[in-house]
Amino acid sequence: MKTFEEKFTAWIDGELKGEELIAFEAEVLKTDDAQLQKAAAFQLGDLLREHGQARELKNADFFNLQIMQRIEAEMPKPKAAPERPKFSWSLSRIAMAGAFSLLIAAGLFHYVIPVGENSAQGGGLADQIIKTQSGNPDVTASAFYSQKNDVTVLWLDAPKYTPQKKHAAEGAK
Amino acid sequence: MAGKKYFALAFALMVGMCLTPALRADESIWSGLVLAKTVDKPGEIPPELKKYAGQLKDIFGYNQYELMGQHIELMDNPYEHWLIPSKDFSLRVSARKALKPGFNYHLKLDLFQENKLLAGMEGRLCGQNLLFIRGPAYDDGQLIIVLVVK
Repeated sequence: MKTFEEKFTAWIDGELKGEELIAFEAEVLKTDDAQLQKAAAFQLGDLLREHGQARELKNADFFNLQIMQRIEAEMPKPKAAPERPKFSWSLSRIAMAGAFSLLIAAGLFHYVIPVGENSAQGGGLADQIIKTQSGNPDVTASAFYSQKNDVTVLWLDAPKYTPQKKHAAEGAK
Repeated sequence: MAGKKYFALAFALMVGMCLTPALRADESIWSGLVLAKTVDKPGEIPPELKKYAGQLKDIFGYNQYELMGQHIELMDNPYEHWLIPSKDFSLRVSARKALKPGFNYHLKLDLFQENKLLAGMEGRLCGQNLLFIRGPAYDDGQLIIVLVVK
């Protein structure tokens, strides 16, 4: 059983036939302006049938591109991060900064790093023996630091030297 | 203009600080060849060694110290060389400013016995620190080398 809307749509499309058509028109055309409504409905139906289908686009990609560009143009742009101020020191200013840095470095080197007598008095550094060498295999060396006396000692173990021969020779002369 | 003035001032200060070690070059290194002995009647210690008598006795234990040779070198040049001759031993010293922070001088010592090199040594000296080198036994005693920055 078709509803009224279905029957009306079929009537507009000209699909109602025979008794069904007669019965529906008898029901619809009771009103005064029914003839006008019928004419308008048929006209609309004809227009929809004629222009209802979309035209096939020849350049669909270009059309899509245009649409996308238009959408993007209408979209609110995200705020870009604020640009950092550019480094704009003059050469003399850079040179001055470098000179001050060197000055500070030199100051630290001279006054902060312990040197010389200050360190010795503070019990910091002692004299250092870096290396010892001898052509004589009987000579050995060892070094130590006497904290009590604040003295670095290099202890050479060498054969006893007795200048007897030389002196005896000198005496014989 | 003001920047140039500050730059010149900073530069002058920096140069001044760099030259500070050179201005302190009134230091000197005293070095001596000492003969230490133990005797019944010890003689008086030489005035040059009086300051170090306690340390010498404490470390080496002898009761008499004779000065065989000595030298004091004013360190007014970056490199200095000197020789301490004595009858049988001589000491050759080469000294320069130490590059390592904390040390005053880098020393190279050569101890000669007669004309033959007995031992070569390298070391670094701090300010006011003493360096003793115990050499070979000699003439009923012991040869000792003393070095100090004054």
